Amino acid sequence: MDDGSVILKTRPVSEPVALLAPPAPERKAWKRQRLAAVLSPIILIVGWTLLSRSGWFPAEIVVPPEVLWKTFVTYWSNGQLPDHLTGSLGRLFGGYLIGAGIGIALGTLMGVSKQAEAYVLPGFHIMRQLPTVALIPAFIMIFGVGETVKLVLVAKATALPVALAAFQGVKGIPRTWLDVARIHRIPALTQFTHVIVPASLPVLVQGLRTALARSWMVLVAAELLVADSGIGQMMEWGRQTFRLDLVLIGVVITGLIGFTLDKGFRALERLLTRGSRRQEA
Amino acid sequence: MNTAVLTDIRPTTGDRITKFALGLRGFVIPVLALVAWQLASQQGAVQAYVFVPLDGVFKSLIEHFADGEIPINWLASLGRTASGFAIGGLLGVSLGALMATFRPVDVLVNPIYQAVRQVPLLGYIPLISLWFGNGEPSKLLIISLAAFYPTVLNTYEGLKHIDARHVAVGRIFLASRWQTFRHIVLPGALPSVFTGLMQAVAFTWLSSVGSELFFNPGPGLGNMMANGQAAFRMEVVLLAVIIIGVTGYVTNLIVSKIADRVLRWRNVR
Repeated sequence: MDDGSVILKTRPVSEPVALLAPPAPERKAWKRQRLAAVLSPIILIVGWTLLSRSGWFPAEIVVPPEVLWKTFVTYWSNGQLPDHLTGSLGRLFGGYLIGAGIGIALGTLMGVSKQAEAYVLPGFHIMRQLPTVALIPAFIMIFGVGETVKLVLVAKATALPVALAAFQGVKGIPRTWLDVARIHRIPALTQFTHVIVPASLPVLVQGLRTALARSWMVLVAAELLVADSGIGQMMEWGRQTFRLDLVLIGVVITGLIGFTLDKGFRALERLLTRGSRRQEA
Repeated sequence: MNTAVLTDIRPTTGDRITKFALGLRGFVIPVLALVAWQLASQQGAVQAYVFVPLDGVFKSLIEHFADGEIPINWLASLGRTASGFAIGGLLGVSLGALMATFRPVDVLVNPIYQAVRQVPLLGYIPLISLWFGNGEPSKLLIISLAAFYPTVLNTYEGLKHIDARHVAVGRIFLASRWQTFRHIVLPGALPSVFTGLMQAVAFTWLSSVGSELFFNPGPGLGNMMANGQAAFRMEVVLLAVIIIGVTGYVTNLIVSKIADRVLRWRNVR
């Protein structure tokens, strides 16, 4: 009887039905949720410990947590881990700043000028089809195996999404706002700083955030292939020498960095777009 | 003076030609880049190694199509992507649905899912390599994860964000559990599930190539690139890049067309 037309049987409702579920004791549920958020990692760690103790796997494959901790402390105190960290983060921020600069300039230019859009946008769309990871071998051949290639890769991974966000941010500004500015004969520079920049900022910042996550992934991948330092290189070295403890520490650190970057950026985002949200409210 | 109030606004032939000519502006920069590349290749033997002449690239395209290198690697990558997408997508939708439906699952699994997802996918490669080796299963694992992450998230979000008023209407009409699912929950969540699957398509293709770059054995476009790089044959690497780009573009196009068709009943904002 499921012909898609009249679907739900209609019966007279004899008693009032609560439209929405009564507000459950939400506070309690929330508390339970927080507890669970702590609980599941604990279960994971305990499970891991038990697995490493069970003797089913050799300790080299499922490394016991205390060994991981010891390795971490050793590598942290002998300065190797901090070196890898500064190496990776330096590259990330260097390439990111270059890429974001190019992206913002290019995207804003395309957004402001129809001519620039007509000249640049199609080529830009072609570039966007080429995943950065797939460009690693070609870039290695062009730029060699030094620092340049990593900076270029991170800059490329950053520039394209940022340019797109900047472009969309500027294009999304209501025409009337610009018209108002023009009617009041506001100088072009003031129009730029007081209308275009604040109005396109929320979209741009969002693009900057996704670009940061993406460039971190590209950098880790690039370091796995070519590097003499960095978290990726540390993991690759651990792989080649069968040091699973190093690999696992690398994985955790990579995740923590990704997480911290994202959270930090979200905080920055809230700070920067405070004004525009207040206007909406 | 007000004789011609109504003007014919249909584009004339002249307008069309102008539009076409203006559209050509987009080709200026790509063509300049190609010319620069070609010029660089003619600077000397060393430069010709890196900046392979364009006719060389074209020649090697024909050559490697004929000798089967391109079709074999291409199909291998496509097949791998498809299986990874199927495995990861299926598991992802299931887990997302489970998490959205059963609180205990949500509470226990969600934090772990969020934690695991923080590590960039390709960062798992050394770990997977040591645990599962460098063969086909490792590649499939990476690709499946690439499909898994976005489908879990979007299925979960889609089911969680069903309009409460729609469910309330269902309750007023005393809809059974199945009816509620079939006519309220499913259509409500489907757009989001589809978004997840679309992201998965793009992401699986990328990670397929990425995993092939790192796990050497077996055919695949990533492999073709790795071998090309090792042998310093830029034309092979470039061909692979171009094929990867074109394939990604075409699949995204197909998927978005399918999504448009499947979801055409939805009110587009």
